[in-house]
Amino acid sequence: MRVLITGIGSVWGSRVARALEDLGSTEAIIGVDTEEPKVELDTTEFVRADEELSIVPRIARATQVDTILALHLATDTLHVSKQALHDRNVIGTTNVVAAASNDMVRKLVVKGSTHLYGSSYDDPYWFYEQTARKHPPTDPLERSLIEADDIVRELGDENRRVQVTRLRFVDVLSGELESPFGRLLQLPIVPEVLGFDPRIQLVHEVDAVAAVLHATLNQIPGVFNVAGDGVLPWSEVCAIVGKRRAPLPPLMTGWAAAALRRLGAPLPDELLRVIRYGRAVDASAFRAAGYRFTHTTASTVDDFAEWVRLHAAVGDTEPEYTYDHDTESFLRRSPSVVRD
Amino acid sequence: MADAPDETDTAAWADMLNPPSCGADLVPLEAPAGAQGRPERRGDVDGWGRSERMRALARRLYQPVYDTWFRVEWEGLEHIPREGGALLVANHGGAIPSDAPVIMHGIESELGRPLYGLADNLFRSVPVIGTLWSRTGGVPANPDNAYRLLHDEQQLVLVFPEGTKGTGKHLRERYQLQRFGRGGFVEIAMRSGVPIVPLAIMGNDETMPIVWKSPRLAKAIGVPYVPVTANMFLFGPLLGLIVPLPAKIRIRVLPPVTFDVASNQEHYERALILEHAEAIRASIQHGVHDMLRQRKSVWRG
Repeated sequence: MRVLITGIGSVWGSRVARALEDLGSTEAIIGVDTEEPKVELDTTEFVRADEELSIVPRIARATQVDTILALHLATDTLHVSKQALHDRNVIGTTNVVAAASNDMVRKLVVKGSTHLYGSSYDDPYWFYEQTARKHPPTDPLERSLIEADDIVRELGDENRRVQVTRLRFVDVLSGELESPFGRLLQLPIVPEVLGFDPRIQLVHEVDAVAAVLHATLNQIPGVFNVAGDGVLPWSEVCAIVGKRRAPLPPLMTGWAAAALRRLGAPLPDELLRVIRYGRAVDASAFRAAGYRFTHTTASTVDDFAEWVRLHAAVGDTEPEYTYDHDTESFLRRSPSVVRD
Repeated sequence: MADAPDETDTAAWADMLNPPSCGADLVPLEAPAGAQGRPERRGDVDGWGRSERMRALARRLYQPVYDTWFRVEWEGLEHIPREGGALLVANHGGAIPSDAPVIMHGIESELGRPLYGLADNLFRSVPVIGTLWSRTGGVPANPDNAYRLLHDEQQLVLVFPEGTKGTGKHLRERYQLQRFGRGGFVEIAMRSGVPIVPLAIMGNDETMPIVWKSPRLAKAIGVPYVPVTANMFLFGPLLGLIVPLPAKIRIRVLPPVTFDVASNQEHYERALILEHAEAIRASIQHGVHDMLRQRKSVWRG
């Protein structure tokens, strides 16, 4: 198996590459992103790309990969501008799909997000993969996610040679992997919307990585929600992590949040929706496809709470890895390095 | 970063990537109890936002209202299944209806099993009230929600097909059942493969009767109706919105209706759905008329 991974500059992407290296069944792994890998990798080759991933089709042809893992989708509007969101999610995905259309590629696995379902008072409590939206998307993130999803779906419909698996992840909560919910729950006081205590669903980082591997190593074309089992009220999530809550006004919440954002609070709009009405998805299709989750929503929060306590006591336990081009290419290519 | 943390992760992956039997762990969704055998959830709020603790508290607070204010009496409780899913369908009345809490209280106390009440989505968007409503067993009336409750979880679900048409009735129209929507409730029961248990209620239309309404004002502020109720003359405009009149409430459970169709179909015949919906509406209307015939006093029953 020859694999190309887009979005290797995220911890998530790096971990997937690392896991593929460890499993040892891959001939070559090529990682593409605007940023360097966040985890030390042995054999994976890193190529820097622009925000639109325009070099991906060329690299896929040149390296003759048979599998593309598209993990580049941005879902964190705090770090990504409106323009970059469109470039990365829509144009980037178009380029990945173009790359997947060459003759060598047999499989495309795409990391998506359940943010594309939206979150509204009249939505069902559980979204299934085929649940249609009741309202048009309200912000650039949702719009870009829906567009990206459509682009990939069309490839799956048109091109029978490529097996397309679309994974839709709920929000990841983890200490090691920076996530919107993780940031929120590390605040000294955690915001809530006054009078609302919605159902929150999360997925563990281990499941996030393993789900991509499961789709890579098995033949499961289609679209799958990926989520920890069960839901927890927002108040309980905060209680498990040991945080007090401070209410945002139920009316004009967006304005209040925008003001807080200016003061540095990590409160993007898409999160605001979720802490008002909540969102949960049904992941039984992915279970039926043979995946067994290691964590539920509750155990994900438990693990995060442990990490927060450890972090409060000793700070970062793992030295941060920084990618250095010269060292990495020396280790991979120098004849002096002993390889077995 | 050392290899140590990754090793355990890889072991976990390897473990997961070779499932013992594909598809064996489908519904019911039995989750592995956390990574280190921790319980799945610690609070008692379930997937629908319902909390048994909150229900127990609500039942304790509501007991005096149920016993002494409305003096609720049931007939035919044996028609409600002790296990398995069923859709309870009732007539609706009173500007702010007391029938939903009365039925939920009665069924849960008598049968000892939870009852989820379907209500308008709008509840969910109201701060505080939406949360309390959800904790005490309210669920947005959405076909997906109803199907999951009835089919996947085999729960008891209560629905008032008349919706706000029933609660917005003028005093003159009391006990005249309104249109039962487009029969969506019948379709859900068919798809879920559960029976419908019709409930006829008497007394609810007199707990908060509307004597005057302003359709124009209601339209302007976007609510189903803006009523002046008889309670307001008795208790004042504010208290009158909360305190119902002590009408005697009698509930008759009618024999369950089962459907001679396969469950989980894509499509059900519209005519068949409407026919069943109309038959159920007629049986409830008949039940209500029958109880009214025997009623000597609105207050004493």
